[in-house]
Amino acid sequence: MRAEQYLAPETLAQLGPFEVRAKRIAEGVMSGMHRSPYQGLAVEFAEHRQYVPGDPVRHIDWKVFGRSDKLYLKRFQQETNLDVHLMVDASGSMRFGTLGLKEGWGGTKAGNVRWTKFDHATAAAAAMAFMALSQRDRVSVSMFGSGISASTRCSNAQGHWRAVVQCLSTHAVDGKADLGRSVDELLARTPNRALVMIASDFLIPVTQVRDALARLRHRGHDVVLLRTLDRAELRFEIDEEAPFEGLEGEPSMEVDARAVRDAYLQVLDEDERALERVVRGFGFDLVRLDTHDSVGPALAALLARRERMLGGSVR
Amino acid sequence: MIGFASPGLAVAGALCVAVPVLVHLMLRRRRRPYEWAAMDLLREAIRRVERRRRLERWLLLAVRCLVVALAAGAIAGPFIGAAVASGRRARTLAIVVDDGAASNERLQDGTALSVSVAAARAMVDGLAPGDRVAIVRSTRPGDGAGEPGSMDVSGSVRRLDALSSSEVAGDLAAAIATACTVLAHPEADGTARELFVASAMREGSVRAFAALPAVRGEDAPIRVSVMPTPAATGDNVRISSIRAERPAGATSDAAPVVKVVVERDRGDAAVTRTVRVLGPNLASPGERVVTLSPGERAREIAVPVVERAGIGDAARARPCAVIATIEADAQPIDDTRATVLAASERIRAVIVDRRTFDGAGIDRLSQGDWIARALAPSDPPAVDIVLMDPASFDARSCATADLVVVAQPHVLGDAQWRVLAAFVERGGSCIVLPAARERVHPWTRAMRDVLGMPWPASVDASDLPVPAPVEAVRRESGVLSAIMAELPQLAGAVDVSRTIRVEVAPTDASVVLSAPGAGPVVMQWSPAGARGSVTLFAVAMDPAWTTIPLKPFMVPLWQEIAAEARRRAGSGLQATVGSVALIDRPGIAELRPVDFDGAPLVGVRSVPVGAGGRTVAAFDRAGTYEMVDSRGDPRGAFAVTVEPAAASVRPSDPERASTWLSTVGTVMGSGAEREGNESTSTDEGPATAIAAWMLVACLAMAVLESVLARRFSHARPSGSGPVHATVRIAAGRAA
Repeated sequence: MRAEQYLAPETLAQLGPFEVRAKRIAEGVMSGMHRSPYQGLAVEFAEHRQYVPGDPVRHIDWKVFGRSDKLYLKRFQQETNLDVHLMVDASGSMRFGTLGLKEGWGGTKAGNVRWTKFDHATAAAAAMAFMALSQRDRVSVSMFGSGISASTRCSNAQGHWRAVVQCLSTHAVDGKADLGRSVDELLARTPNRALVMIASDFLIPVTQVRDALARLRHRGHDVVLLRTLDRAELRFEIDEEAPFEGLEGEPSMEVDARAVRDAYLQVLDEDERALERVVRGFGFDLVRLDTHDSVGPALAALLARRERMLGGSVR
Repeated sequence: MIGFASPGLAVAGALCVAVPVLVHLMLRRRRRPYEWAAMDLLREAIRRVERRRRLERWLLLAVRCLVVALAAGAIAGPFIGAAVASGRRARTLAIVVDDGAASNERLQDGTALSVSVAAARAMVDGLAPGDRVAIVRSTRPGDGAGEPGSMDVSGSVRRLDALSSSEVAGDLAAAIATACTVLAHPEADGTARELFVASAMREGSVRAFAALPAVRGEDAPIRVSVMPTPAATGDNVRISSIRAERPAGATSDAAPVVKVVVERDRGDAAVTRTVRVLGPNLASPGERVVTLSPGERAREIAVPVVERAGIGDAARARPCAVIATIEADAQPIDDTRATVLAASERIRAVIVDRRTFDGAGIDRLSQGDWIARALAPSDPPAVDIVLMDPASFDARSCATADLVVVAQPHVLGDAQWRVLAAFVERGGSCIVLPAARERVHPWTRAMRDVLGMPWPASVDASDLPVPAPVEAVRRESGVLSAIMAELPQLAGAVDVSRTIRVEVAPTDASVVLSAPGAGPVVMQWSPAGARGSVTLFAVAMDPAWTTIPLKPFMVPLWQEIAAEARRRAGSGLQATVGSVALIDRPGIAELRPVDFDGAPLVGVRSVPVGAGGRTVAAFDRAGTYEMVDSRGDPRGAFAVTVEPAAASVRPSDPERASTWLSTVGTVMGSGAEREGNESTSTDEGPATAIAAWMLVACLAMAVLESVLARRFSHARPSGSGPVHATVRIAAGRAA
């Protein structure tokens, strides 16, 4: 059975404990890696050291051996301490979701509960945290809105996983998002270079995202953006004229959905392209997550892409 | 200019244009709101499409309204300048329909009105689309004055069919004047203006050919035509007058006397009619046969009637109806006439005179004493007399009086004169005599200014060198008409030696008694708008002025004056059809129609009495009514009569009628003749063609609406899957 089938959002939503949900995702991602030689997320080359008996041969740099007839091993910077900072958007817009829960599976009732963008983002963040902690990488989680409203310390200690889960699962989803301020607050307490993963819908001006990424880039951080959108936002398949109310206090608008649909999709497309240009310009990664799709394939694709970026280097 | 064969339908259709607008507004009603996260993106999308969207909406709404308007217009039968299209000049036709009292005449083919309506319908049927028509009724001549004619021919036909004969006097002259204002309307400019008079042209309709407006124009004279005069069928005899009264000075249980005037209206042959007098208080109908010999115009007969036994004084105290009827003939509505028998209660006379204390004796009697004795010669008196000092005379004094005799007019103030004027206005009888001992009489000015005396009178009394004998003036009606036979003998025994000169001709209808050489002695008139009368004596009832008090003439003279006052008191209880009555009885709430037995008539509306005692509407039928107070208690009878002259069916002089009508335009003869001479186009081709084109346009608009509605709805074609940005982005990345 394919891993993503286990990781369908409807399925995840019915997994009561948040912790189990994240582990499921992580397992699915790992199984999708097909015995990858790369166990961690760190990819930055640090130095060579001479081979001593007992070292794993798979880390020998064969190119150097070909030139100098000497055995050297490749070493990476994060091999010792990689910091992964997970930022999850908890603003009001993340409360949006249209995917209903499956009824009956696992004895649950669907009711009016919907799988929201926030649910999806926290699931993805938890999976990434689980994978990082499994490799002994240090992980911190920050919930942000108008600023960082909750966070955990950066740690790979045993039991830190619980703190991560606690932070992700109990936070209120409300208010406006201010990515710049939130990033500034993160930078203020992050002295080392780190991998920063930001899970948000990024329904904010692209210029604000660019400013925030520029500051992260300036401090030498690597960044992965997990843009989480609901399928209704991506397809806008509404066929009536109705008032639309914002989730972050925006005034209500009377909208003939059929009439504005094409224009909306065009605007969304332009926004997506603009965000992608900014992200690629800094050399960062952008992953789009559809709340109606499984989380795993998208994360697996991310890791695969980063693997290709290293061009077959070993740890 | 565009018009419609059915303007009502066109208006209704135009109103239906509001339906799409309402639907449009209703569709904008608030629905359950959507919660949405990407509001900035949505706002930007709306900004991009808003202008186009607004244009689409207005365009769609306009097309929908146009569909409805075109459909309604097509159904309403439009035409554009139909007369121009057919090469014919449009017509504006004003039809005056005589539906007055005279139109009740029975003819061989129905009534005069039905013949008039048939003629009018024939005229209307000859109209073509685009022509205008106006219907003016002689009983409502003011309706539609100054308005343009209507293009709603079918509506005009309906109006004609709905007409019914009225008992109200028709005013043909006023109706023609109104029709002329219709033809003079700017909408009628450039059209052939025609006036059609649908009337049998009886004397009751033309009313002595009252003056018509001169509206004849040089450019487009009005063509006037009259329907062919229907042949008269049979004679017409009417009851022109009925009077019921109790004998003067009689006791309350004395039998009343009913005097009926039977008058010939049409025909010269001898006619015999049986006059029947009915009434709820009468024991049995009184009957008299009357024969009018050839050439005899009218005859007054007295019909003996007997009141029902046991009705009691209470019933007699209320006015009751008396109806006279003869056999129905050519004009049925003037064969019955009702009146009111005044209550048997005694009249009340107030004598305004200053008390003197000159002792007893015939030479010491004051003027008031003479008059009081003449008014109440018997015991018990038939007249209640109140002697009142002029200083205490006021409105309350004459509130319950029927007759006021002013024997000291020189001491009355302005307010007291106004009290007298109000008394006369509401039906009272006022007799004014100069004070016996005064030489100067400035009060004659008040007579002119306040009581409306039409002639000037001298201020000074003048003594005649030789006493002038009094001469009776023969009158068929009036204050002394009842003693006309004895009047020469009675009046010839008295003379006048002092008088106040009044500048009125002795032959004037107001003069009751006159003395050659001394001028008029007694005059009677009714001020304008008043129901009562004023009688002026130019002499005082004093031997120094005249010998009247000393002669037998004194008593019958004043008794007749009292009888006249009694009649006037009762006359307030009748009115003519078409008039508004002033009910001089307090507490009357409405007049309830009853039949000759006093039983309520079912299905006939009561006439409410408003504030001030005036009926709130004009009477539209003749007959008897029961006055009812606010508690529903009967308060006596009220009679409404047809105006005899208005119901006259005597044919008018055709030449004179033609001359009369020629003042408003060119008289073309009868409608039938005119119709034969003139071709009236009834070509409805243009109207049909326009309707067809409008229908085609309506269908085209409906198709366009469907296309636009489909397009503007932005509905996705069925079966097409969603196309969204995600796909494009994914494809871009793959590339």
